[in-house]
Amino acid sequence: MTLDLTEQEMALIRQGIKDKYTQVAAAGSGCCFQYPIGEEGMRLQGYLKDLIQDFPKTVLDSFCGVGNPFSLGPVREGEAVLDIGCGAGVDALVAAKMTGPKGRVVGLDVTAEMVQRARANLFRLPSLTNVSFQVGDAESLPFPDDEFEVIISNGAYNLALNKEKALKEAYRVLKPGGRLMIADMVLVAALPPEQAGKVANWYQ
Amino acid sequence: MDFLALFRKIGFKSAKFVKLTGFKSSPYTEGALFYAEKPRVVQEKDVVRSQEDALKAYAEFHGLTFGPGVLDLKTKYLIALGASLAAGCDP
Repeated sequence: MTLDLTEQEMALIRQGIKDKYTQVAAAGSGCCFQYPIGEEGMRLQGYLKDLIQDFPKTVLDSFCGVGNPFSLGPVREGEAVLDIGCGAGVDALVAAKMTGPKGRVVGLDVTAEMVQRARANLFRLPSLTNVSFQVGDAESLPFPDDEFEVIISNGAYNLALNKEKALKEAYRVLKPGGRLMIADMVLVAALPPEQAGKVANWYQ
Repeated sequence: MDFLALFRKIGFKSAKFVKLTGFKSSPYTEGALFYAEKPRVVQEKDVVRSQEDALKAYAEFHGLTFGPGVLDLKTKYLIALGASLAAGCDP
């Protein structure tokens, strides 16, 4: 599916994404989504209890993914993991548990307020010393080639304006033999014409 | 947007759609799980493994050449050194 977007439309979408997720970061996920998220969402998606049992409720409730990337395969001890579109950082914190102190996790998000929220969540888990969060764009990853054994992403790629560029970047920073594990949204039915407006619908 | 087509275009391998997640974010959209791998680079040990028989035969030939015979080991090595110098072998 290709979409022809004007520069102005792309700018509107980028800003709209930042605005929406800034709002989510400030107000908590309950403000803006219609589907189960938070602790209940994690339970429904089968996140392993023993990995998250010491996560404070406030951390769990900041989860707003669309699936469980770890159900595609575990992160092994010692691996370097990148979470693209990490949001409030819950998946990155789970990955940090799985990779252990010999590994490391970096969470990247385009929304500065989400990165702040992730850092606040990390602060509540002082036992995790192998995670960091930074602001950045999936289409231009601030990492060298062949850096990570695993890239995870949960509900982020659907927001990228140039998905091919973003996935090429993921390929670049993955190590040879590295694994990409993505949960994302797909269209399962045709949008009715009145809802198919490109800009407003991009990050609904 | 077709993840699988993009994965293949970019060079990922073992790309697959695994399943829907049950997260219906709207009547028209649902979460889905995708997996892909970046291919490994062919490494020296992979080449060695694929040439195992030839390398075994060469090692046997080498052993027999330098094994006990009419000429002593020192003479054999000096001959080999002379041959490699004449051939311009790069160490």
